[in-house]
Order: sequence, then C-alpha cells, then structure tokens
Amino acid sequence: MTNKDEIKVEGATVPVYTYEKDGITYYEFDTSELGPPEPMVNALSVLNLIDSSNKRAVMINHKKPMGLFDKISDRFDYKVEELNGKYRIEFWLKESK
Amino acid sequence: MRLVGNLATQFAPPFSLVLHYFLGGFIFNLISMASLYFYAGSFEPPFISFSYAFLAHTFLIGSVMTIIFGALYQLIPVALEVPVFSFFLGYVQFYAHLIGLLIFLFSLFSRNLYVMLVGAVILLISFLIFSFNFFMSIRGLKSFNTTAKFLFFATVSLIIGVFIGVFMVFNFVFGFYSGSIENLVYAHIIFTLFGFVFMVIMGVSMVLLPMFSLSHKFRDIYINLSFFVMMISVFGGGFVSFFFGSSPVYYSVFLMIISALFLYLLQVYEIYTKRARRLKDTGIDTMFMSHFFILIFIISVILTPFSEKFVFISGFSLIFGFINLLIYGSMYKILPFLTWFHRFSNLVGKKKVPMLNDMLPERLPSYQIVLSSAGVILLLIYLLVPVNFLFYISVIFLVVGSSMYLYINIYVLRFRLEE
Repeated sequence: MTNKDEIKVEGATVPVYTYEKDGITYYEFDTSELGPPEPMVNALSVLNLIDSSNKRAVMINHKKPMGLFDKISDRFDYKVEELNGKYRIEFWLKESK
Repeated sequence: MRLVGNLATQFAPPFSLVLHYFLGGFIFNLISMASLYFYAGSFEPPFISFSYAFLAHTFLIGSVMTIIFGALYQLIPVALEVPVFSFFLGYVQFYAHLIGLLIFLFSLFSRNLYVMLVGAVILLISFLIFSFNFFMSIRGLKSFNTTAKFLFFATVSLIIGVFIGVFMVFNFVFGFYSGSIENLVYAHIIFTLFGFVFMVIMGVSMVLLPMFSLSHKFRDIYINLSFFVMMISVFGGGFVSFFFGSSPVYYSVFLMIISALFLYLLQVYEIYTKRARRLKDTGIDTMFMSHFFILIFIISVILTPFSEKFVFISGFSLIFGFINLLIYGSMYKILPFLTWFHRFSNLVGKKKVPMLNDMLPERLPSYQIVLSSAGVILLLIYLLVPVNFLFYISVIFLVVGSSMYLYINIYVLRFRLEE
C-alpha cells in the first residue's frame, strides 16, 4: 500500500496527495464531484508542479477533460484509463516518457 | 487502456465562431417574443398559414437552431471526442444562415413567393454546409455513443426536412404538386422540429445534464428506448405523413412521438435523482424544470381531437415553454464557461480566477427565469381562456424576460477581473 501525503497546492480547491512509486513522484487529485471549470482549475494548478521527468500528475474525473487536453497538449503527454465509470488521467512532461 | 496525447488538431472552436451563433440566437429570441404582440386576438385555426410560419421560423430557425449550431461546434469535440472538420465552414454557414433567414422571413411577411424561393435555397445551402461539416467531422468515429447516434440521425432528418420545406416553396411558386400541402407541412415539422431540433436536444442533454449536475452511474435504458421510438416516429411517421397523411395518421404519429418524449422524460428524471451535488443553481435547475412543459405538451397532444385549441397549446408549451427555457438555463452554464475558458483559464495558478456563478449578475438570472416562465404559463392560459389582458401581460413578461436574458449574457461576455 502506497503512503499518500496531503499537500497544499496554490489554486487547488480539492485535496492533492503525493506519493512515490518506482522513483517517480505522483500528485493525485479527484475532481469527479466538481462541475466546470473546477476540474480544469485544479488540473492546471497541479500541473504547475510537474517540472521534471520524475514527476507526474494523476487526475480522477467523471469525464475526459477534452478542453484541458487542448490547453496543455503542447507541454504534456497523457494517458486515459477508465476506472469504475470515472476516468484516471496521468500527465507527464513531453519528451520525458 | 487508451493512450491519448500529441493532439495535432485543435478541438475547441474559436470563441468568436460560437459567439456569432449565440449573439444571433439571443437577438432573434427577442425579435420572436416581440413579434408575438402582433398576434393579439388570433391563434385560431387553421394553424397552417404564412402568419404562423413567420413566428415559428423566427423562433425556431432564428433563435433555437442558430444557438444549436453554435453549441454543436463547441460540443461535437466534447461529446464525440473528434475535432470539427472545418471551423471556416462554420463561419460560412453562419452568414448563409443569417442572410437566408432574413430573406425568408421578409418573404413570409411580405408574402412574396419569389423572394421566399431565394431565402429557402440560401437556407438549404447553409444547412447542407452544416451537414457536410458534421459528417466529415465524425467520419473517423469508431464507436457511436448515445449522443453520436442522436446527432447522426438528427442531421439526416434535417436534410430530409429541409428538402421537403424547399420542395413546398418551389411548389408555391411553380404549382407542380397536386398532393396535399398539409402532408408536406406535417412531414416538414416532423423531420425538422422532432427529427432535428428534438433529437439534438435529447442527444446533447445526455452530455450536458450529467456534466453540469454531476450525475453519474445512472441507467440509460430509457434514452435508448426513446431513441428507437423516436427513429420509428420520425423516419417512419415522417414518410407516412408525407405520402399517406390524414388526420388519424398525423394523430398516430404524434402519439408515437409523445411516447418517445415520455421515455426521454424518465431518463431525465433518472439523471436528476442521481445528482452528486444538490446545491441551488439557476442554470441547471432551469434545465431540469423546463421539462415540465413536455408533460403539458404530452397531455395537450392527447387532447387535440377534442379541440383545436390544444394544437396551439401543445405547440407553445413545447417551443416557447420547454425548448426556450431549456436554452435559457443551458446558456447560464455554457456561456460563462466558454467566456471563462477564453479569458481566465490562462490565469489559473497565477491569479485567483472566478467560478462560473461569479460571472453572472446576482439574482437576475433567477428573476429572468421566473418572469419568462410566468409569461409562457400566462400565454397557455390565454389559449384556453382568451382574455386579451392575459395575452398582453404574457407578451410583456416574455419580452422583458428575453431582454434580461440578452443583458445577462452580455454581462457575462464583458466580465473582467478587478485589478
């Protein structure tokens, strides 16, 4: 079981948790109970923390955030997985896959 | 697992494209409400006339369809996860739509059939541009979800309905068709209003209602059943009305349509009961509450054999009641979001950004919805009990409501952060 610590992120309106796995630091947050634009506000706030190849953000949302993808796809790559009717989206810096 | 990334194509449309359509729709909404004034003391059978066609087309093409097209350019990427084929065609369509509509409305007003022909053909071209753009956008779609199915067949229905409309206008000018005009009008209404407008609303509602009310894990059996009944009603009923129309046929087709709408209502109720957050919100509350007017529509359609009054009541409850209020409510969610995305999303993490409700004037949207809803209810009462006083009060409410709606939306568009 991975230990998750809650951290304070400027601009985020939901709790953000951090944990390490395979040498990568993850920042995880859940916006599945939030309506637009809060998922994007939280995602953009957390993505500010991703400044190196060993950091990744994990977003849990009720839908695929297509508008967000448009906004960040020049800087980040991402993958989407379906998770019990919700979506888990993992972001990392481009060229650091 | 699905890997997405390296988006080569822009998904979100230019803000100005959507604004073209929305502003056009807001202005035509006000024109429709104001033009009601000239119908004082009327609303008598027959309902097939140039006079009622003017009101119906001003509202349905001018306000409803203009807003629907703008919303679809925004929603196709969100709902279907494919980019729009061409935003440039979206601009071309808008100007063709506007020019065609103005010419067409002028012809209905002036009863000039040759001008009507020009307006109808330009409108046809604008609808075909949309259809081409839509089909090209979805050509790579691998699986069709509920919304995609509704939008696909809605667009097919639009093409059929508009060709029937243009056929009618050609016949007014050249008089080559010996069949029943009533059949053409019913088929035109079934394909355009129920086939296009309603099927778009049903499909898009399955995205917008859960998205804004945060409703998840609801059963979708009712909307899937509704889709099949709607398909039979529109494509079966539309062609049967076209070729073999008669009063019992029209009535049977409308009974099928209201069965589909009843199933759709059950689906909306299912989504409503599965909301994650139950906070007061004028936009989403209005979107849900507007569906009560579908119940009035269903009851009044059933009663049409007893009095022609119910033809008008069903029409107004559906168009000015349900569709109008649904769009009012949706706009209080969609426009603040688009404005936010355009103006504030780049400031996230740098400044404190507003939430959507911060961008709406306080209390005014609620007052506007109450006023416009009261206007529609008074109009429906007037149709039952024709007292002119009721009519004028209702028109004042609807015009003031529509003016407030225009003001609120301009307020949202002009919203800026205080330095």
